[in-house]
Amino acid sequence: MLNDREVLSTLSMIKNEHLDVRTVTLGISLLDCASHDLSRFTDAIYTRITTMAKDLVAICDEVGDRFGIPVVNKRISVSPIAVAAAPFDSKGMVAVAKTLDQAAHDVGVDFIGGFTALVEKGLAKGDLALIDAIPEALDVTQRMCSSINVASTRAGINMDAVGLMGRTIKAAAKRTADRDGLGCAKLVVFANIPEDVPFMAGAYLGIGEASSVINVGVSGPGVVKRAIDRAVAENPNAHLGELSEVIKRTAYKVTRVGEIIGREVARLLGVEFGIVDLSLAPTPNVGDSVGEIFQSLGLGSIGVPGSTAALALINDAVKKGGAFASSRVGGLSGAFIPVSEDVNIASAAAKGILTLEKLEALTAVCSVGLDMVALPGDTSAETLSGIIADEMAIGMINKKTTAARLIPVPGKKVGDRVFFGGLLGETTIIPVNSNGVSADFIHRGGGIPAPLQALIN
Amino acid sequence: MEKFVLSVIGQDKPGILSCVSTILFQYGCNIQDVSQTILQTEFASIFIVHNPGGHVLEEIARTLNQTLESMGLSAHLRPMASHEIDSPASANHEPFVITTQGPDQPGTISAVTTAMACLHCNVVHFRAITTHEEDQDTMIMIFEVDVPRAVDHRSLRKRMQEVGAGWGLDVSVQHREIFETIHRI
Repeated sequence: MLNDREVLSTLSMIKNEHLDVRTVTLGISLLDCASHDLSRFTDAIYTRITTMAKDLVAICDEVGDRFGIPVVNKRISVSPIAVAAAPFDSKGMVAVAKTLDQAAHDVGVDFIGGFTALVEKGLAKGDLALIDAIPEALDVTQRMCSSINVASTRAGINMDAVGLMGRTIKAAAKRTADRDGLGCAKLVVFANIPEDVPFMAGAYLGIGEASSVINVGVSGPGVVKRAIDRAVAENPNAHLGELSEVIKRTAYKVTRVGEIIGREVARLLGVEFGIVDLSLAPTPNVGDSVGEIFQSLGLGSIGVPGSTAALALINDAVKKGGAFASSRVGGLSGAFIPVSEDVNIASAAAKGILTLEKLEALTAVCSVGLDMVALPGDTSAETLSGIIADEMAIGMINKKTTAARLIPVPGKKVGDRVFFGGLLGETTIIPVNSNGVSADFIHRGGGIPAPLQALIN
Repeated sequence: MEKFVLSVIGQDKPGILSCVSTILFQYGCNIQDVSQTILQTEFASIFIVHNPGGHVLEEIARTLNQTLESMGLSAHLRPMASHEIDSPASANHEPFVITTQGPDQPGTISAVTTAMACLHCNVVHFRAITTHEEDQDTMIMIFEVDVPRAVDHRSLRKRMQEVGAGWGLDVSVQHREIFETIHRI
């Protein structure tokens, strides 16, 4: 027999605290679709995706209904296209992007990820073609996301790729200037990209993964905030160790939800269950914010002194709770701080409390990086590359994933509002310190060598 | 008849279980299952009892009631039917939890449970809690229900929400497993 508390607290988590499964992402390998002929390749990947994923949306809805937990987004990740479509030039890559977008549309998923290249050590022919195609590919598609891994702890930072990505981001912003540079919101530059992320825009199916796999992204910043608020209401003097315990226990419960939904969807689809990515992923809704957790912990706002320590506490407690709840925790698993996607974080940025430099510091302890940061349209490609290089260095040295999703909004300047719509939200453009004076460093190119794995203090 | 069902009901006070179990022991009976609850001041319990000596049930009932009546309680016995003894855990049902929340008014429990009965859903546990919020009594009802596999959970939810809406109730229908998964290690 269930006890009343178990039933009522679960209902409250769903109805009042925005607990949901943020995404069920079906990973589909396209490697065996390889062909030297473009139309054969696009036909093969279209058929593969639409066959494998034809029941994905219906099954996710069915399982979500059964447990009373909404599965908000259904998505697809595919093998890195720079590998699967290596023979093609950039024009061919755009055709592949259109095919992915069409397949995503036809099976009813909101995003498909995997327009991806892994270039931390060097740029192969397929990688160059794919990166060259990114601006147009992001312009002519709606649902396709792109990610480029330019650094890793084992390989170092490919500074040629970092330079290239600065220029690519500028070009993508220009091509989507009428939509506030929306193309850049679907393009992420990574260090240490995980192979099993279910969240966009970084989802792709790693080379080491099975033919098909279900990865689940669970969210729940609202649940964590309310749990902290309740603990503080019961004991106004609760110390940080106690609040860390509250976050850990809450993360356990949230991860369990992802586990049960993921396993059931995988069983019904007849594919392998991969991982649960327990990430506190905010949405632009009030009460579904990571920024608000900082206030519940006692800070005036995210961005004030103490924020990095608070985020370290949150991120670690989330991982510990998640790791206990499932033996298959993976992906990014931690706290996201995407500026435009979180009303509270966007507000702190607009007020100048949260600066680009403080965001960078926060990324040393969060689970991703500089995410959905809107910058002035005149930010130079080399300065963008400099910001990316800094972010990659944090990931490389700290053996963690970091990423940069930067949007230099064409025609807009510091303080202007930008609107991306939907889950991507809206925000205010924040200043970049010393724009345009990183060029000589970036133009040197080459690579920053991988760090020692000893002498690590 | 080797098994019987005994129910004891009346005002709660110390010593009820002691009295009942002692009398059953004197008849050589073995209590196999027991459940008891107290609502406000009232005690209710149900026992499944093995009666290897084959004592006549009327005699056991008489003895129990002689003692219990003086305590303001009454006992009722009936033999347990053989199909009940052999009844296996049904593989044709799935456990769901139906929760309603809304104003406390006469008729809600009847409306909700009648809708469940029409769909052949069997309530295995039921609790109702009344809270006083914003100047009105709110009743939360939690039903643990065995739902026949033939009943689609979406039609069940739709039907329950239709019925609930007529009484101002917010109704949730969820598979029981989600509650156990979230809260239990």
